[in-house]
Order: sequence, then C-alpha cells, then structure tokens
Amino acid sequence: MKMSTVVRTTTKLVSPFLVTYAAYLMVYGHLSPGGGFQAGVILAVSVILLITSHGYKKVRKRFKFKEVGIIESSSAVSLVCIGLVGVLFGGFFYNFLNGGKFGSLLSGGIVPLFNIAVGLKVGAAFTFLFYILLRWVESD
Amino acid sequence: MKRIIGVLIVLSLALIFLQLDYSKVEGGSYEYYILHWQEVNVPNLVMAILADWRAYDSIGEATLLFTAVSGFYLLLGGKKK
Repeated sequence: MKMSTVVRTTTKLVSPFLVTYAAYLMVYGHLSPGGGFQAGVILAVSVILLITSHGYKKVRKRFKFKEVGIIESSSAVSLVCIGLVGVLFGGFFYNFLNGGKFGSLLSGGIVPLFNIAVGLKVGAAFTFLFYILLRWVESD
Repeated sequence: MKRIIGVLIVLSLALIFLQLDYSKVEGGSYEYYILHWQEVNVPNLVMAILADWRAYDSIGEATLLFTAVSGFYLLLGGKKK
C-alpha cells in the first residue's frame, strides 16, 4: 500500500525530526517537561508514520523485525539491572550515582538512565505491536 | 478439578484485595515530597516522583508493556507463512 508522492515526501522529511525530539525528551527528561514514556511514544510514531505512507514491506527492510525485538528486550533487562545495582548500595532503585550540579545535565544520578531505558523500551514495544498486527493482517 | 482450583485462586485473590488498607493517610504524601525534594537533586518534581520514589510504579508499567508484546507475539506472531 502506497500513498501519494506528497505524503511520502512529507513523512520522510518529518520523521527524522521526530526521532530528534524523542531523543531530547529522553535525555533532558529530568530537567524539562517530558520523560521516558512520552519519548518512547514519539519514537514509535516516527516509524508508524513511515509504515502508513510507504507500506509495511518497504519499512521492514530498514527497521528489521528481529532488531526491534532485541532492542525491546535488552532495554527491559537493563531497566531491571539499574534497579538491581542499587541493591549493592542500599536498596532496590537506590540512587547511587550522586553527582553533578543541581540543574545540570549530569545531575540526577540514575534518573536519566532510567528515562533512556524506559523510552527505548516503550518505543520498541509499540513498533513491535504494529509489526505483529500488520504481519497478521497481511498473511491472510 | 481445574475449575475448582480456578475458583479457589480467584477467591483467595479477592480475599487478599479486600483485606488491603485503603484508608486515607492524614496529610498525605504531598508534604513529604515538597520537603525532601532536594535529596533527589532533580529540578523536575514530576520526574523525581516517577523515577525515584515511585520507580516500582514505572517498572510495573514497563512489565505491562512487555506482557502485552509477548502475548501478541504468542497469539498472532509465530511462523511466517
């Protein structure tokens, strides 16, 4: 399924900016409004937009089904690992990385790491769901 | 036999949920968050609550997504024809 040339060109132009915006929301989540979940949804939308305009078969060649699954599960494992490392210092999800000036990018300890892991996980999960549904629809 | 076990599990879960304490705490957690904000060293209070004090909540959310993905994969994924 393919849409017209105008739609295809526009989505190609817009989706890299969406990825940039998602990365900003992930990294700066502890300083400005935003956070992991919102960043992940925007990250998924940048791929879903390409699927709606270019069709599933073309997008699948660039963003492979297996790679999306690997990103999803590895970020879930790293999310649990961040919590488990805190056990060595005093408790589950203990903030062990205390450093940096208040308000700087490196402040906040594990909060930015947590945001990045949650963002990658949510984005990969939504993309994965779309892939599975599309594969099921097209196999009929 | 399976049905009896299922009914027993559901009843025991219902008992556990009924015994939980849902009464309101006097004052709430609002004052604690405002007073101990400096400990987290993060300017965004919403993110401090979500990712530091309530990290269990966020990890539950991540587990829910993971369960949804694995359920979809088991039901609709499988071998490609």
